[in-house]
Formats: sequence, C-alpha cells, structure tokens
Amino acid sequence: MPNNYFRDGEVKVSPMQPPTYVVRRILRKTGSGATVSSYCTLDAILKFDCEETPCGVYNEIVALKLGQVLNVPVASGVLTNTMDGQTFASLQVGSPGLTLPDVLESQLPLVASTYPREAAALVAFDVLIGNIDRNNNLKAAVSSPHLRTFAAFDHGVSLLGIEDDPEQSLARLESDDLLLTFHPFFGLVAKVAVDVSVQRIAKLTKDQIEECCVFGKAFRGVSLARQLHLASALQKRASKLSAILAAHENLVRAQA
Amino acid sequence: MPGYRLIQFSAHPVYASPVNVGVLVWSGHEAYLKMLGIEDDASFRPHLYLHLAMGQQVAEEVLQEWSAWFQALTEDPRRLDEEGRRDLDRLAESGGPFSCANHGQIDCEQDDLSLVVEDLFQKCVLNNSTVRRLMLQDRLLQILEEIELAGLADTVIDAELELVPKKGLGTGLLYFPWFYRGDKVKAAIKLVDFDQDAVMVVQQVSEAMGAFDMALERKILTREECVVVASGDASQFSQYAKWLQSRAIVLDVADRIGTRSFFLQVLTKNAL
Repeated sequence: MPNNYFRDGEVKVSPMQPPTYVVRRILRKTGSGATVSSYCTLDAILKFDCEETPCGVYNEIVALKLGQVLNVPVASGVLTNTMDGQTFASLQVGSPGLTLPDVLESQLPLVASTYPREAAALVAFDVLIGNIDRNNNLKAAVSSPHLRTFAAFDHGVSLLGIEDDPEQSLARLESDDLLLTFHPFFGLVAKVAVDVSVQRIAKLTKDQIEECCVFGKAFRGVSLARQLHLASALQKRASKLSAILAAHENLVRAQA
Repeated sequence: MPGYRLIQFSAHPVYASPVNVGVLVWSGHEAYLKMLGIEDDASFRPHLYLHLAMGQQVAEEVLQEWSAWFQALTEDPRRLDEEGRRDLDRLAESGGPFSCANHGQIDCEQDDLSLVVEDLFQKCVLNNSTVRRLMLQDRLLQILEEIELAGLADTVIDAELELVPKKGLGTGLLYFPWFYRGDKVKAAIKLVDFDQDAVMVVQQVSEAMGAFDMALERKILTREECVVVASGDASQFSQYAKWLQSRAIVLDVADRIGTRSFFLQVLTKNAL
C-alpha cells in the first residue's frame, strides 16, 4: 500500500517511489570530493531507428519527456550515440543485478488493483500519445510487499509512429479517434482515476509540450517543422482528451 | 503433444553460466511448474538463487517477482501454446536473470504430465551437484527455521566448520558458535550428499571426518556436538556411513522430525 502523508491538514496520497534501475558494475571511485561517488555501468536496452519505426528514437525521447512532465510512471532512458548516430537507451528496471519480468496478461488485474493511479495515468497517457503497442511493455512488482515498482517502457510505436507515414500519424493525433483498439488496462481502471490524469494532461501548456517535442533543429529524420507540428497536434489532443475518452467510456473504464 | 521448457538462471548475462533451475510442462488446460525455491504451498525461498549467483549481488524481492511470474504463467495453460510461448522466448532477450533456452515436445499421455515434470526436474535440475548441495543446505535451513533458529540461516550456510582464531586456544581451531536469544549453542555441521557420484561422496566424507577428528582430538567439540546432515541413499556407502557415525551424530535430512528434535535438544541443553 502507498504511504499516505499529511500536508496542509489533508491526507495526501503518497506519490510512487521512483523505480530503481539495474546496476551492472560498480567501478572505481570518482576521486576526492564532498560526496561519495563511483563510476558504474547500468543495464539498458538500445533502441534504434529502423524501417518499421523510422522515428523510433525521437518518439522514445519525446514520450519520456512528456511522461516525466505528467508524472506518468515511464521507465527512464537516455540518448546515446552509436555508430548509427543517436539512439535511445532504455534503462532496465530492477534491483541490484536483476531485472524485473515484464507483466503477464494474467497479472494485469492484480497490477491494476495494486497500482490503480499509475494504471489510470498510463491509460490516459497512452491515449494521448497514441501508443498502440503497450501490450506487456510494463514492469510491476506484485508479490513483494517491500518492492513497489511500476514502470512502462517502449514508446517507439507512438506519436509519429502510429502510422507508417509520420504525416498520417500527425493527422490521426489531430483527429478525435481513440487510436487504441486495445490497452492492457482498458476495463481495469476507475473513471475517477482516469479523470484525474486527463485533467492533468489538459493543464499542459503550449510551452511545456513544445519543450518536450521541439529540439530547435532536426533530430535524426524528424525535421524542426515536423517537431512543431507534433507539438501542435498534441496540444489539440490534450485539450480534447476528456471528450475522446468519454466517447469510448465503455471500452476504457472499469464498470462500477 | 505436451510442450516443455527448461528454465535457466544466470546471475550475469556475460560472466555466469546458466544453471537449470526449473521445468515447465503444459498441455491443453494443464500446466505443471517445478522450480527451485518454489515450495508445494507456492511460497518461495530465494536463498538458493543467492548462492547460485556466486557473489553477484541479487535482490530477493526481484527473485520473488520472478517466482510469481512463472507461477502466473502456469495459471493460464492454454495461453502457453501461443502468447505464453512468446513471453518465454522473450526471456532470453531480456538480459536475464531467467531464460528458457531448451524446449520441445514430449510424447506422453496427459495423465502422466505431473510425473513427467518430476522426472525432468530430477534429470535436468537435480543432476547438478551444486544444485543438489544447495537443496540439502536449504532443507536443513527449513528445519532450523521451524525451530525458530531462522536468524542463524546465514551462519548455517557457511557451516563447514569455520576456522576461527580463538584467543587462548590458539589459532585455526574449529569453532562454530550459534547464538540464539542470548543462548550460546555450539555444534558443528557437515553436509554429505550420498546421491552424488562416488568421488564427491568420498571427498565430503573425508572432509567431515578430518574436521571432526581434529575437533575431537583437541577436545573442542564432543561427539554429540559433531553433526553430519546427510541426504540420499547411504546404503551404497555403508562403510563411510559407519565411519561418520563413529565420530559424529548422523542425521538424515529426509527425517525432518528426527533432525528437528535433535537440534531442539541441542538448544535445550545449551539454554541458560
């Protein structure tokens, strides 16, 4: 159970502890200083642009930034460089030395009841970015009382990757479509919890969205114009997300 | 035809060799999982994996999650033919710690599935001498935990008669203290698995006898404080068993009641 706390005379639901990531090796200390620090290596999965996801790296970094702004439990990642240029390194969620398993379909009801706010936030977020590939791309601890971890990963097939053509993807983001025909938490999340996340998304400002989407110059295959177009499309979608979800309420939310 | 998978554990994707730790067999609406650490009541004992990690730091909670994951997989046997199979395939790409490299189909009747999983587990998992030894240690630990010596678990893992320098008695003396609620219980435990191959059995027996001989000769331990916890069929090594009995109390780990009552007596005798 989350640890609730008092603030301004009210009981506040404690936010989640940030997930931890797998350290592979701890190396030498960095040297003298006020803090104790060491070099280390972390486990990560590298995501490259490919034929199926030509804007995959861009989609990953934008989804991560948006998720962090919205406090959606997405696994962290970083941009890095390989021979192929910039790639996205998705950090492996887990504890020392071990990664957590991906959630199984049969575990989803338990995950949704253990992490109701997080599951609802993820539904709203995935509908916002048009993530049609959530499936089991999710880590969640469900059987260890002391380990509270919920982290979603893999957002390469969203945003500009909804369709093969990025322009078509943008058009779909601008439409009133739900975009998703399936989501692991459809039917498992409460209306109230989804509404809270939708309200938070609706409050996103134009500047916040642009800071997540626009990098000031072309990023790999994504031109600056297209980045601005995505920011605009997301802003429109954020403002009408509530109506989009209301139109598909039977599919999305758990029945009372 | 029923399908099967061998479950392997590897604490490090590069340095550690995978060790067979479980078997999953399924057909139609039935699935059977036999895996190290998962007890009959579905509870999970992570200690075995901590030792298989061989020095790598691993989190018990994450192992617990993996145990739940494999058990959840078997709750929906029909899924194992398609989506579940893909879930298992993805394990190898996920960087561990578990993977399912070996798989195939078994020519057997549906009614025999539970027997097949036991047989596969015996052949593929328990044939590994390291695993067998860890199993023996863990069964002893379970007995000790039953008599509320749980806090000693870590000590017992290293219960190969530690050589601890002791002031006033010289160095290199055999001394294995247990501390329990302020009581001090002294005993020395050696593990002998009679189901190992003959060379391994001889090695274990000679180690135990050498250690106990020294302890008895130097009057550090009495015979009642020298304990061999054994598993497997000792009848093939009857002479070795006799030698051990001449120097130590020999307990069969399969005899849970007898083993438990012995350690209870030791505790009672040493109570303040």
